[in-house]
Amino acid sequence: MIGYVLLISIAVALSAAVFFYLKLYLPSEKPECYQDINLVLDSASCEIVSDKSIVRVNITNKGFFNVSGVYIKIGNSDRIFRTIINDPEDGFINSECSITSASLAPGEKFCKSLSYESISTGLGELSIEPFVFIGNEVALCTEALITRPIACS
Amino acid sequence: MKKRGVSPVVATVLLIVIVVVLAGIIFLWARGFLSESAVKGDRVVEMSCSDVKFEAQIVSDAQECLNSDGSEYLAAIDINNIGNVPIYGVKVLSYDSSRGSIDDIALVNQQFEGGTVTIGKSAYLCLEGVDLNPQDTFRVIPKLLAQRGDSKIVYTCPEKDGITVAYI
Repeated sequence: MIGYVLLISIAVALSAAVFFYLKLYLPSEKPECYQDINLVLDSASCEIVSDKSIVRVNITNKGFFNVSGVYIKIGNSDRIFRTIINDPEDGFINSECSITSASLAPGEKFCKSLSYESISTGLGELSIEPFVFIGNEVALCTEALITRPIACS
Repeated sequence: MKKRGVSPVVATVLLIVIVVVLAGIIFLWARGFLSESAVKGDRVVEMSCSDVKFEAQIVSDAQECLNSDGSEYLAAIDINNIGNVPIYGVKVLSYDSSRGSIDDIALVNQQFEGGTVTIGKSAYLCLEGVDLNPQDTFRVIPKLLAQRGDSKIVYTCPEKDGITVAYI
């Protein structure tokens, strides 16, 4: 009897070990952004105030899905390196033109003044890249990226 | 002729001993094997490498990169992470088609300023001693931070998980 118990226990322990080992090698499901995400940049401006630049953006969700947040970046138009000037984790809380909520529903607007430490007056590029949460993971909507030239004055 | 075999009790004991010994051997083998592989999250780091998605660009005279005596700007590599795997650093290889050689480009720092580049973020690394010519080709290979045993290690992904960029 003890023999059977031992055999079964060892078999179970071995299968558990093999399961957890193989799990490390399984490909994971990658979160992908929805196709019909569409943000529109209604207006964007940049103003230099003392030693800071203040960027004002107005965005409308013209797509079919809620957008969880955006990365608002600014940088040189000839480089992919950009400085993020908002806090993407906040989502759309603290909008200055509509009811604020964590996500931006279809038809809703988001307005925000963002300041960052730079007094560069040359022509730069503003880029707005939306993302959605799929489960607990962030899916970047690279197809819905908006870019616009911007100059601070 | 009457033949005598081992008694059922001895046979069972033998069976159990053999199974226990086999299980012990497999356990020791698997433990050694597992401790050798670095893990990122709940997967081996090699699997995470294939999920890395990023854009890269080689730029000359990057204003963030001054040489040691501050007299001129250096070249730089810009990275934009568009995937869910944080990138710790990059290895940059330069292909010289005229000589048919591959050179490892020296970086001023091994890690991006501000730490690991997470999803949606971009960063740059300054390149040392690079003389850029139009159509020069580079292979950019991501480096990930992984766990091996109790310590963190920097894992350089296989070359196939990198991307090729040309200087324009």
